[in-house]
Amino acid sequence: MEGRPLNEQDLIQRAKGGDVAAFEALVQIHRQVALRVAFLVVGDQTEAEDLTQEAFVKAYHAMSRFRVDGSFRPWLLRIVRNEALNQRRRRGRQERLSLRLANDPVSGGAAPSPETTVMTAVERRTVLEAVNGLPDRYRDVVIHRYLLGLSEAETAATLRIPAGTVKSRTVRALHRLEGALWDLKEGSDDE
Amino acid sequence: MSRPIEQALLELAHHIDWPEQSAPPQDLHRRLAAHPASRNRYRWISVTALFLVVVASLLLFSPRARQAVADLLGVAGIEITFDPDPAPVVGGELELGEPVTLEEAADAVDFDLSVPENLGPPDAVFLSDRPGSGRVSMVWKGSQNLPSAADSEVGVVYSQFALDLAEDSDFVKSVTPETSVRAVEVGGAIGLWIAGAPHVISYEDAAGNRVEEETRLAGNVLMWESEGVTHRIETTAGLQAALSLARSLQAVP
Repeated sequence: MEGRPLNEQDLIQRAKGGDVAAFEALVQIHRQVALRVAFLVVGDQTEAEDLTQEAFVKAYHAMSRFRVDGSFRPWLLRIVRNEALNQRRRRGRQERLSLRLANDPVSGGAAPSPETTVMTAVERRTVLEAVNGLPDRYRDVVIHRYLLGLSEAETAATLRIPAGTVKSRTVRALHRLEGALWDLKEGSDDE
Repeated sequence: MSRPIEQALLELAHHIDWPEQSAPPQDLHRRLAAHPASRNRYRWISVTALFLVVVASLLLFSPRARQAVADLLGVAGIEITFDPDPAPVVGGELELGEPVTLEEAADAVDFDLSVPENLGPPDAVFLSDRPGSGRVSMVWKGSQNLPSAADSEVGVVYSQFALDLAEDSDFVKSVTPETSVRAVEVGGAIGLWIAGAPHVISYEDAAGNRVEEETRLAGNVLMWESEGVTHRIETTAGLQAALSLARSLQAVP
């Protein structure tokens, strides 16, 4: 009580019964990651917000088909990504999104503590460039697994590919990243 | 979670320029409240779903196809049922991989792609990372000569993957008595024509791996290997139509 939300299973049960507030509470929990999943596909903030909203409405009307024993987050993210892919297809444009680094506050209360900041800003940019340079099928897996923090199973459900494929692509993607970063390091050492 | 590259990625996650949520939550609230889940609408979905399940149970014996239908109903049923402009990818339900462009597919695999000149450009192209170094599948909508399958608008699936078949692979394992298998000549190579009931075939590649193949369209399959690339044409039409497609293959420029 005391304004604390019910647990997710309670919310799911209520939302399946058509409870709008319960459904809103549910999507609120996953709103941020949903927006990011959409943004990765369409590459535009406003578009991503609109279609995320659209996907939430569809998810609400599909709640009756959601299995109670299933996992809600990947189910929702899959609907969001599906909506985003449809949106991108309708639009026809297929330009590739490149993720960018935020302007980190180098000092200030909100900055990560020094112990957790292992990489320099330049190193971060280098790693991100390597990620951006991966072929889509590897990049999607890396971004969902590591940058969005989804599990292997969640990544598989969101991207609609088998879990085994997520696993093998992760291995290959990490290998490629290591290769790309190693090449860069070699190159800079030569300078 | 211990490799340096993984640690670097996990740290990077905190520094990405993600979009900020700015849409007022009231907007979602208004839309949900304005269109509460309607019982009639649900009933309609249920009837549609039931129909699809019945059709699927009757017509689809392939576990993969059944899974595709189950997925569709479980998650994306709203897309096929209500979206006035769903623009689904042709053959998306066949679970052939991720939809890509022909150029992307050609870039992704390390062999040269072919396309049957008879059919023109494919209606959709899919990329999957198995077997071998990757598989590219092209699909075409059904036509008069190559009618679509009962459960799909697709009439032809043409897949290519680089996989050396073992010389003495015991090719066919899981076909039913209603499935016939015969050797045919395809452009100088010995191929297999597998026709009749939906089937799962498995074979051994040169590396000794067992590879399983399922029918996607509950159709007939012509398979052969040429210069290290395995070609597989699945169609509802007969052997002559499949051979004619095989003969018209041209390298993708």
